[in-house]
Amino acid sequence: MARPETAPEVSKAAEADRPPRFSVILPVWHPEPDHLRQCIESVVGQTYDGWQLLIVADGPQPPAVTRVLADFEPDPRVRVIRLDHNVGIGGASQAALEAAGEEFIALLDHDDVLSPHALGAFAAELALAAPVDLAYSDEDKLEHGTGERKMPFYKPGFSMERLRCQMYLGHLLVMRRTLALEVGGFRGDYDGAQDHDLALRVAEQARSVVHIPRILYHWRESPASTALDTDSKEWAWEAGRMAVADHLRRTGFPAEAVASPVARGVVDLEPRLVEHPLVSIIIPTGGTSRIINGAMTLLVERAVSSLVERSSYPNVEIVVVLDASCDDALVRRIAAAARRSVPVVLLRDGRPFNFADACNIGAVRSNGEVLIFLNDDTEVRMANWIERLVMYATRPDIGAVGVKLLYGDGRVQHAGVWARGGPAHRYVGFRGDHPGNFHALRLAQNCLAVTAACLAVGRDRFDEVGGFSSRYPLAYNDVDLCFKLLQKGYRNVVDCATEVVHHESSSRDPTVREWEIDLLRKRWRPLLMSDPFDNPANLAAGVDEYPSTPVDIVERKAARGELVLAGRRWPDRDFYNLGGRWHG
Amino acid sequence: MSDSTIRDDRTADQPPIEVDDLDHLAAGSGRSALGPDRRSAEPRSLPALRQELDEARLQLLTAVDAVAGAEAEHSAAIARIRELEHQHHMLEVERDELRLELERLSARRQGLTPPLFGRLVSGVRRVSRLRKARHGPA
Repeated sequence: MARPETAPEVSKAAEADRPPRFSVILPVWHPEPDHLRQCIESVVGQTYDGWQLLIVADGPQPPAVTRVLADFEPDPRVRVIRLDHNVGIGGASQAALEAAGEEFIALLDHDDVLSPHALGAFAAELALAAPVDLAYSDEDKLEHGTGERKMPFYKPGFSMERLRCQMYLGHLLVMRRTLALEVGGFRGDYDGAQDHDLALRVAEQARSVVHIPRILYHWRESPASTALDTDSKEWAWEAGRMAVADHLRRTGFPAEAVASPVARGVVDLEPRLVEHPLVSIIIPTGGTSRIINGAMTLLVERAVSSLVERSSYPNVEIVVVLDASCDDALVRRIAAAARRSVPVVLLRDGRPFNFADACNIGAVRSNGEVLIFLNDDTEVRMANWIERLVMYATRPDIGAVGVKLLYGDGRVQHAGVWARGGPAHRYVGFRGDHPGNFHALRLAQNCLAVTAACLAVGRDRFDEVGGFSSRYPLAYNDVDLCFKLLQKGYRNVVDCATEVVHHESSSRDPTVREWEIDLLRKRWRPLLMSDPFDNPANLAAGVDEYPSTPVDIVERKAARGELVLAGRRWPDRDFYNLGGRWHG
Repeated sequence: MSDSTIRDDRTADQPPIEVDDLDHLAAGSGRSALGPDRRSAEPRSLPALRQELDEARLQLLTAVDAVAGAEAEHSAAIARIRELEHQHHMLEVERDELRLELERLSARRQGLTPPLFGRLVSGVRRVSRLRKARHGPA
């Protein structure tokens, strides 16, 4: 596993006036002695020397462990804090936090192994001018028995929405010590998820969060570890759910935290809306019919009837924007589809078809506080899909909200948009029940953009950015809208736990014209070239987010300088500056 | 505006659905629908006011979009300039390195003594450093 590694970051950090220093926090309770030794050795062997190691022996330890600790204690950089009795991992971590003296703390588990340049890489990033309060890196696992590296987790840039559903930041978590103390430090009530609990509280207050897209630590599989057996620590998952529930209470997020029935460690958010603002569902249509399930189907009729019959949200109006070709017979069918007490507004726009214009006139003529743009070739299946969208769209810091869209045959059509030179649907063609990259297809997360086939946005935000741009009559008007929201500081969300069926492109020509992408690039080139929610490693190996790229392929490419992100060498400081940061 | 009311099979307690034909938008301006002078003090009909409101709100969206788009294009242009400046700078550095290599080879061919060659190397490096300092990090 060990390989010669150079650390140019060390010199960069050392050049700073006051290079960042770390108190590495390592709580210990009856670990495998060899694993503990390797863990400590990986700290002592760092290429960057701005650190102290605080090991907390959480109560009396077996003799073999005591010997390991004694071996390292003579090192002046290593301090062992011995607690008289076992207080649990939260209490032990808190003891270390209170004893820490450096600017940053770095959380470490006894079954982790740091990459030799891990702290140097963090120091280089933290030495930059902008204040960073929380930082994390990519990770992989060491196979039980062989120590072989596997299962790399190339993570996205910081996503508050994802952190709310999953502790994806991992173990080697670096945070500003003073902020960790200010928010109350570690809490023993959340043992097993004490890091998730603290990360949530720090992230709520953080000025910026940085993701370093490099594997800087290796998580050892062991029979007692969740790295090997996700069922081994049921109590830890429950602690994680409780930590999220507490976060929801603190932040007034209108949802209940529920353990995902299909994914260990994932928390589902069940909407518990206090208010039900009027939602306007805007459906532009050309009155297209096509064969679905063997029957000729008027798409808009099916869309309206499915959302009226299956949606549980109590305060909705439907605004259908018809093009000039729609006759009165079609109008009657739409009216019949909305047969329950749902107010329906029908607008007939005689102008040449322009999706952006149709959406805008629908928005102008609607009354809702929240707008949901819905293609006429969609079909609702979940009762609370509107509640789930409203739950996010009414948050003050959220821009556009999308869902996981499935083709009629159940495959994924859309799970957010990422930019790989040009915008593209994530996970297109994957099985509908596929977990995605570490459950990405089962939870909410931030992304660059979502498709207007199903897009919710607060009216005030829609107006603030000027709605859909008429300059994009067919393609990319949704991406442009989402980028404008990002530009204003809002976060876009795709909630992959919410599903809507989309018989995509049956309603329009799917061809994208060159001038459309050129126009988008002219406005948004920096975002298109550096997607903060993608990871250069996935891009480098030429694979989708899943299956994860073998570690060796990526590292060999990096070593040869072949790893580029849309023309930028990786790692590249500009990449982080453009997108890797998150400003809270 | 020509409103047509569609009778359908909705229940009696539900209002009939109305279709608004947005002809005024197709005309490109509400002026023809609203009469020659919008500033006229004469009272206007509710549909006419509604049309005017539609148009005003759409114009507002268009104007705000234009500002957002211009801001984005401005940022994109600045980012592009920085990127090209960086590439230019890197090419200059590479050129200096190549020049250094050329001088070294040339010096070897001419049999220059090591002290003289050392002065030459340090001079070229100094130029390279100054260039780097002038441009700063990318």
